[in-house]
Amino acid sequence: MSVVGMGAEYPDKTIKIVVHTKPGGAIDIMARQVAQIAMSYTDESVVVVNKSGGSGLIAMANTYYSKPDGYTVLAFPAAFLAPIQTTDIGFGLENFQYLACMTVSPEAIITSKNSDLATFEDILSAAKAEPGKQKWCGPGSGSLDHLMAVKIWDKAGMEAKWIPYGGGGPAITAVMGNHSDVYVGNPEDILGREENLRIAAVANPTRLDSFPFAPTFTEFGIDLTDDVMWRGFAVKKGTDPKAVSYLVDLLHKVSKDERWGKFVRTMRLQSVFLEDEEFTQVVNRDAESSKTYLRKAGFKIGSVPESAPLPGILFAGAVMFLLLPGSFVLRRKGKKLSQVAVISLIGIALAIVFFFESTYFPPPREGTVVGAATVPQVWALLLTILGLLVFRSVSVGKDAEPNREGHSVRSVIRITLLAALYTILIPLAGFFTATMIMLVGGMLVMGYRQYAKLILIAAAVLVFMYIVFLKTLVVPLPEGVLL
Amino acid sequence: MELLANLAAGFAALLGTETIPWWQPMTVITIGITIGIFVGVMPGLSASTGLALMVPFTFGMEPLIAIVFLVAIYTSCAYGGTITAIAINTPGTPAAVAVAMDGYSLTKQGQPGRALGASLIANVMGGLTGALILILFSFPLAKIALKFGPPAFFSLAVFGLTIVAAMESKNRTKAFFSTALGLLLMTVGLDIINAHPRFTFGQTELFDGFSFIPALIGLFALGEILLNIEKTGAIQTSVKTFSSKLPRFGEMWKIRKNIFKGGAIGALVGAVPGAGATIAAFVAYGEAKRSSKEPEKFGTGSLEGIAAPSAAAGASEGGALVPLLTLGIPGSAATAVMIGALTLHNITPGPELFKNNPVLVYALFASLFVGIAFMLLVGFLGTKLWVKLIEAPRAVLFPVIMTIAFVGSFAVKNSMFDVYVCLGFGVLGWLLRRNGFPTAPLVLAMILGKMAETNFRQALLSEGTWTVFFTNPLSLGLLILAVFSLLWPILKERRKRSSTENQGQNA
Repeated sequence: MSVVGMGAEYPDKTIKIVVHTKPGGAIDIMARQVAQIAMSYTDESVVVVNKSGGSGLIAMANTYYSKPDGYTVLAFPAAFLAPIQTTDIGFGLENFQYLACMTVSPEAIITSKNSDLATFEDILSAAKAEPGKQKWCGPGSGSLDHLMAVKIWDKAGMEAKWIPYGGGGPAITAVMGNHSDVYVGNPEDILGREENLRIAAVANPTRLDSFPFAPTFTEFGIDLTDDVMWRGFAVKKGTDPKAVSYLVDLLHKVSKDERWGKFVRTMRLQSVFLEDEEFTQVVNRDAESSKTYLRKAGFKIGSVPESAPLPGILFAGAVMFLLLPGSFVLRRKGKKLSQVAVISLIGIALAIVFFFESTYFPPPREGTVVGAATVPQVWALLLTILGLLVFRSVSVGKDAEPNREGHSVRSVIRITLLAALYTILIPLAGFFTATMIMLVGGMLVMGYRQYAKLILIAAAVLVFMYIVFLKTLVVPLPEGVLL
Repeated sequence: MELLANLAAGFAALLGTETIPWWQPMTVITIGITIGIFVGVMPGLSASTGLALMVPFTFGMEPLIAIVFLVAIYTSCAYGGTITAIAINTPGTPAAVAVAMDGYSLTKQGQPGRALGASLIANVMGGLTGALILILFSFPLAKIALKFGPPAFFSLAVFGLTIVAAMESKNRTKAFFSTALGLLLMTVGLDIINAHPRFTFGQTELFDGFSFIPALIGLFALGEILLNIEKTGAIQTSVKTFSSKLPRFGEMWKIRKNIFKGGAIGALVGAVPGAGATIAAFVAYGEAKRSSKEPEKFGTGSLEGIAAPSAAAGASEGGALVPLLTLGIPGSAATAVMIGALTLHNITPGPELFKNNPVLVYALFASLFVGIAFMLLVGFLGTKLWVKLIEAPRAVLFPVIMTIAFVGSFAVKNSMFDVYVCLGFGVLGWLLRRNGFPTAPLVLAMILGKMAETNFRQALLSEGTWTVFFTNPLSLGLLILAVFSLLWPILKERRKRSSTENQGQNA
C-alpha cells in the first residue's frame, strides 16, 4: 500500500479552496465561481473557506501548515508576493506548487473627470511642475498597486507621494472627491463610475477590447506592457503529483466552461490559462520585480522587525497579571486593596509597555513628522493620565467599593475555566463533541440538576447549530479531529 | 411627478412582471427579512457576512428578485442586532451597543416588551426616514459625502469620541479611562501607512489587530454572563417574569421628535462612505440625551435612549445606499458585498443605473417600503418569542449563549484565535464592569481609534501641514461640534448644581 494514496483514488473527500479575503471580496467571488463550476466535473464537493487577515499571510500559513494531500487549495493572487517577501514567517514562495493562473487584469492608473489630469501626459507635467507633491493612492503600503506606482515613477522619472487608504473602495472614493490625484488599480475599477472617472493609462501592449478608450503607457513612451494583476491557484509544495495533475486538469476544464467565460466577461477580466510551469515562471518574474520595487519603496526584504527585549515585556506582563488575583485575595484577608486601583495601575503599566515598545518602531518617513509610533504614544500618555486620575479618586476615597455581599467570584472562575477548556478542546476533540461537553458542563456548573432535560437541551442546541449554521447558512464551524 | 410615476412602476414590478410570477417578490422579501433578523440576532454574523453567505443563492434568480432579496436581508439586520442587545445585553451588531445601554436596563426592570417595541417602531420609522431621504435627496447628498476627505474623517472620529462625555455622567473619569484603553488596544496590528507590525510580538494573527466583533462579543455577551453569575442569587430573586407588553402609543408619540432626529442623523451619517451605522447610533444617542428634558433617566431605561439610536441605525442603511446608487462606491462593508453580488448579475451600481434600468432602481426603493412593513409584522410577532426565550432558566441560557458567542467569534474570520480574543475580552469586560468602568466607551474607541489615526496621518501626508484640520470647513465644523459635545454635559451639570445650591440658599 502506498504511503500517500492509502489505496483510495484522489479525490475522495471535499476539496477546500482557501481564500484570503472575507466573503464578498473580488477573489472570493472568483473562487466561489470556480468551486461551483468545478463541481460539475468532479464527484466530490468543492467549498470555499475564508481565512482573512494579515494581507493574506494567514491564508498562506493555513495552506502551508496543512497536509500536502491536495485537499487544501489556495487561491493565489499577485497581491501575495509583497507580504510574503517583507515578512519573516518561516516559509516563502518556493514552498508552493503553482497549479494554474485563471484571470489577469492589467494595472491601470485612474483619475477623476473633475481634475485636469486627463492623460498620463498631464499627470507627468503636473508632477514635474511640483515634484513630490502629487498624491497617488491605492489600497495599502507595499501593495501590488503601491509597487506599480513606484515602478511608474521610476520609469517616467517623476516624483510623487503614496497615500494608502487601506482598501480599493476608499481610495477610489478619495480620487472621486479630489482628495487624491491618481488611483492605481485595474480598468474594471471604473465600472459604474464612468461619469466620474477616466483611465489615464493602462499597462498593456495594446488597447484593451473591453476598454478601447483607455490609452496604453506605450502611447506615452513609457515601457510598461506586462504588469498584470493575476489570480491563480496553488497547493503546498510536495503534494502528490497525481493530485496536482488532477487539480490542474480540473481547473483547465473550468476555464473552458461556458459559465466561466460568461463570468469573466461580466467582471471584465481577461481569461487566461497558464499551467504550472508557465504560471511558476510568471510568479518568479513578478517576485523579482516586486523585490526590486519594495526596496525602492523603502521596505526591507524578509526582515524581522526590531522589537523591545522580550524579558522586560514578560516581566511587566507577569506583574500585571499577579496584581489581579492579588486584588481578590488580599481583600479577603481584611486588607483593603481596591480592584479599581489595581485596574488603573494595570492600565498605566500597559501604557508604559506600549510606549517602550513603540520607541523601536521605524522613524517617520522623510517630510513627515508623524510616524508609526506617534499615535500609540499619544494614546499611551492619555491612558497614563486617566489611570492616575482614577487612582487618585480611589485614594481620596471618592470611589467607594460596591457592595458585593452574596457574590461568588468562585463560580465565575469555574465557568471561565470551563470556557477556556472548551476553546482548547475544539481543535482536539472537534466542535460538536467539545460543544456537548461545554453545554452539559456549563449547566452543571451553574447548578442545573434536571439531568434528562439537560441532555435533551444540549442535544437540541447541537442539532439546531448543525441545521442552521452548517446546512442552511453554510457558516463555517471550527474543525477538529473528531466530529 | 416623474418620481411618483417611477415609484409606481417600482411598486408594480414588485407585484410581478412578465418574467416574474406575482408571488415571488413578496416571498423573497419575507424570507430575506427573516434571514436578516436572524443574522442580526447572532453575534458575529454581521450584515456583510450574511449577505455574502446568501449571494450564491441568488445566482439562479432574476436580477430584480436578487436585488430585492439582498436589500431585505440588508435592511433587517440592524433590528435583529438590537433584539439581543435589549434581551441579553449582547449587541448582535456594533450599532446596537448604543441601544443596549437603555434597552437592557428596561429588560432588567422586567419590561423587555416595551424596549423591544420601542426599538422596533423607532427602527422602522428611521428606516422610512432613510428611504425617503434616499429617494428625494440622493444626488445632492452624494455631493456632500464626497467632500469628506481625510481631515473631515479625522474630525468626525474625534467628534464621535467626545460623545463618551455625554454618555456617562456618573463615572466620567472611568469612562474616559475605558476609552483610552480601547484606543491603545486598537493600535495593535499592521500600521496602515508604513505596513509596520505594531505590538504583534511576531504573531501573524495579530497583524490585523484584535478582531473587533469577537472583542465586542466578549465584552458584552461573556462579560454580562460572568457579571450575572457573580451575583446569581441577587438576579434570580429580583425579576422572575418578563412582560412582553409593548409601549403605549402615547409614549411613542411623546418621543416622536427624537425618532425623527435620530432618523435624520442616521441617514446623513450613513451617506458618508466609511462612517456607518455605529457612529450614527452613538451620535443620535448623545444628541437625544443632550436635548432631553430628562437626561438623568438615560442609562436607566429611557425610551428616548432606545429610540434615538434605533432610528439612526435603521436610517443609516438607506443612507449607505446613497453613495452606492449615485456614485457606485460602497459606503460600508455590507454595501461592498452588495456591489459584488450585483455585478455578478451584470448590474453595475452607479448613476448610469438610473438611466439604463430605472425600473430596477425604483423597485429597490419600493422594496424598502414593503420590507419595512414586513419587518414591523415579523418584529411584533417575534417579540413574544424573544421574551419567552429570556425567561428560560439562566443555568440553561448562559452556557448556550456562551457557545453561540464562540461560534460567532469563529465565524468572523474562520479563526480559533478570535475565539481566544473573545474569551480574553470577556474576562476584561467582567473585570471592568464589576468595578464601575463602562464598556460601551471602549467599544466606541475601538471603532473610532483606527479611523482617527488613519485619517490623521493620511491628512498630514496629503497636505503636509497641521493647519488643514482647521482650514477645511467640514473638519473645522466637526471639531467645533466636538468641543461643544465634550464641554456641554459638564457645563450643564455645573450650572444645575450651582442653581440648586442657589435655591437652597434662598430658601
